[in-house]
Amino acid sequence: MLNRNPAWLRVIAVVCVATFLGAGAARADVCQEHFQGKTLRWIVSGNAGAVYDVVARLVGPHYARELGAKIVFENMRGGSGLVAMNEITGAGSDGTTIGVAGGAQTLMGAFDGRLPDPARGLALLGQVEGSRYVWAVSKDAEIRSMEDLFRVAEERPILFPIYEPKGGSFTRVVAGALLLGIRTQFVSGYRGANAMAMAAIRNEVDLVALGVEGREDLFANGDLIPIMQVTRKAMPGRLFEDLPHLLGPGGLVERRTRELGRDPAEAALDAEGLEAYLGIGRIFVAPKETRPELVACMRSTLDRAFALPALRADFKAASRLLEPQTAAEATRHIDTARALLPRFRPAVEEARAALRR
Amino acid sequence: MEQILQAAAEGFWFVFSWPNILYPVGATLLCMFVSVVPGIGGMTLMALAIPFTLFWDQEHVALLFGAFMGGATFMGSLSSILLNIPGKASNAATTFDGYPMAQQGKAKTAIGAAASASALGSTFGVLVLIAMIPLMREVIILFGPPEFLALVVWGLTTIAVVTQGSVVKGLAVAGVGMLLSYIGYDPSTAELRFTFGTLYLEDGIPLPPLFLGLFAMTEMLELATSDRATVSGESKAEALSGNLWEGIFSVFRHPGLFIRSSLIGTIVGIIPGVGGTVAGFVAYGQAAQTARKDRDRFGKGDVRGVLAPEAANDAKDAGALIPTFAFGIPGGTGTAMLLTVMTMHGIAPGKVLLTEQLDLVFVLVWSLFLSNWITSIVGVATVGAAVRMTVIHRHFLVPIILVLTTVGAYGYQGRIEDVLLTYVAGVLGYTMKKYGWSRVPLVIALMLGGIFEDYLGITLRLHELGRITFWERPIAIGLLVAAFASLTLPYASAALARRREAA
Repeated sequence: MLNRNPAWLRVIAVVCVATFLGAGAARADVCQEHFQGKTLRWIVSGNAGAVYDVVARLVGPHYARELGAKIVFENMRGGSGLVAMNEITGAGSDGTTIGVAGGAQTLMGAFDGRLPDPARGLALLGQVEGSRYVWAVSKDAEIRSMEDLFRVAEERPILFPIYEPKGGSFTRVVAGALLLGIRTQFVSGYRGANAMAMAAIRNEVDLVALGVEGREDLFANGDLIPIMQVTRKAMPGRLFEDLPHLLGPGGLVERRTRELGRDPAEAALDAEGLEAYLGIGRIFVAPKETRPELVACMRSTLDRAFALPALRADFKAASRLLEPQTAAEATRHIDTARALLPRFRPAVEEARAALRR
Repeated sequence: MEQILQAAAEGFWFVFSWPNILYPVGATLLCMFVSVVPGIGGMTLMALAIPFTLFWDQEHVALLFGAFMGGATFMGSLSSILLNIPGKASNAATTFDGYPMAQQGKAKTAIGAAASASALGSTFGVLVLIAMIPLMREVIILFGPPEFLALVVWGLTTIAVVTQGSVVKGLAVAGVGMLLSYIGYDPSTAELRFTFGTLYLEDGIPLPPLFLGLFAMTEMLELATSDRATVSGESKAEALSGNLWEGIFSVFRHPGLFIRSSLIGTIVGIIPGVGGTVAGFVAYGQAAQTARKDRDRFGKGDVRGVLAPEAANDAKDAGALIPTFAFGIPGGTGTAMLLTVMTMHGIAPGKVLLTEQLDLVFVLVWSLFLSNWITSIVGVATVGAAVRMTVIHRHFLVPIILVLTTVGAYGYQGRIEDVLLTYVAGVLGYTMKKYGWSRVPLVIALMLGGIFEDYLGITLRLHELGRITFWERPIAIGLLVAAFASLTLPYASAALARRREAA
């Protein structure tokens, strides 16, 4: 191809390639020079052994090795992840303090309007995986499918268990119910997702919204039956292949929008907001103040680490899904979610007010 | 049942065969060693071990993590008895009588009792686990929010038992404890309460630093300002009056109490969401409430007050595995970590695990069992050195413990606010002790207040929505009756005895 082009085009192409390679090499040099032999402080939102901690310990050593650095993990609990985020936000600009957290959680502070938005004080380095949720019922429940759900919802509100009426999990349920046009009720105070799963197994609630990660066995055993996946398309795996999905083409939102006569444009915006919100998974971040050249090389190092066969083998051995996204993709999800999530605020406030009554 | 016994035997031989036994022994000793460092325990070791064990086979992973689960338990008992510092929240009830015993020079007796109760309690829990495997799933489903609530109420009745001196003072302190436990988000409405706008208090008051202050710092302040030169009042270990064997055999002198306490521990352990904290308190409460004689010795250094919570505390570990194995629903942080590891290694909790992979279940169970025994044996073996802590002069002991307390508070989550909280709680505890206000009701209320609020709210809501009918829950009602009876029977029997004497 190139031979058939004029000489000046060939020169430009060569210069472009050389510039690209040179920039890459320079970036690598910046990182190598800066981080070689240093100790990275990796802040983990949540307890040792929890999801974020596992992800950090799987990625961290490979990332540090690529930089020629050492790594120390520091678990920080509290404030639904905001304590850890604030710690990173306030760290220095030399790139030695980084962290992993739930991107969706960090947005919730801003969404609630009561807390600062730490996502604005952070530089995104990349993302390891999106959030995967299902709605599931007990094997003895009255509701066994989405058709049952729509039928029952016409007669009475659907009862969900929740941890507390705030935060990401509550917003996801309210948003999903809004998009499907079903009435909801909540019983709040369950101590975490596992307690909510047990509430559904005991059949004291109608259904439960649960993250799939680490709970595949609950579904495989038939203790809980998933009836809908809160995704754009079917998730991989025998359990989810034929399960209806909420978002995207052929999803339940499309169908319910038609059935309920909602404005398709409005419904599409709501769906986009929820999808973007779900798309924000476990994100890797550094303080916003970190020098731009360092952020650039940290991003490329993380991307490189994600591609390492050893890291992929570790994720596989740990039975964890690895769906890395670049900083640009993760930023897009966060910006879209930030713009569109406020659309759900009235519904969330209404559900919360109902609980107060 | 035959299949279960066969799997239990296979698991047993696997764990106790060479070189497999090295895994639980090594893991337990490592766990005991690092538990001495504030801020590090079995959970931290488990988290650190996850990446290193990714490519191990399932059996050896079960060997290692089973031992990690049991490894740090007894170290918490030792510090509870010797220094009034509960190593974990679930060890708090051991301090009620364990530390007074140490102050009387009977630390050896208390440690002996704790060691034998722990080891035998763990054995009891394992035996119940074996017996319950066929019924596990059905039993767990019988326990819902009303039953959890009733259990917590039973735990709260312990306040009436441990309140010494003025009942009004005890109840007032418990009320303050309940109020403090409500700091943070309201679980029903997500409204923030009493946080004064700080992020630090949003998740409530962190209990470990608070307890470090209320127990360790208070005791050290008290020791520093008292006329005692050492914790025990003696300056030489030889002068201590405690007898190790007396403690060890105390379990056999109180077999009924031991069985009741172990049973309570196992049942509480089975119930996901209530956690081990309740087990110690309920066991302690029933020990004091059902004591036929010398009931007033509880809280002043009675070996039964050590035996009961320790038996329950270790029996609960096996019980906590039941929901984890049966449904993949962990009962506490230890089992949550274990579940993470199991999932990573393709071990799927549920029916298949309880039928086709039972031998794997027993590898884990026996490893936990062995670990509990090793900690007790090592505890007994080192008792001579350990009790010397009670004869260290306060000029050395107080600064060392204050430094360790500070490091422990900071190590909890790396926050200076935790250190501040520990110091404030230390001064508060010292003031309370000086003016005759018991700290124990405060601790019980703080620990159980949040759980009580959660399950009261859920139970009321489900009842209101017609999802449950409280009056048709025989287990919940039975538990409430048991709580009421254990609260009132001692008074009723005392009144009856007085009437008989008068007649």
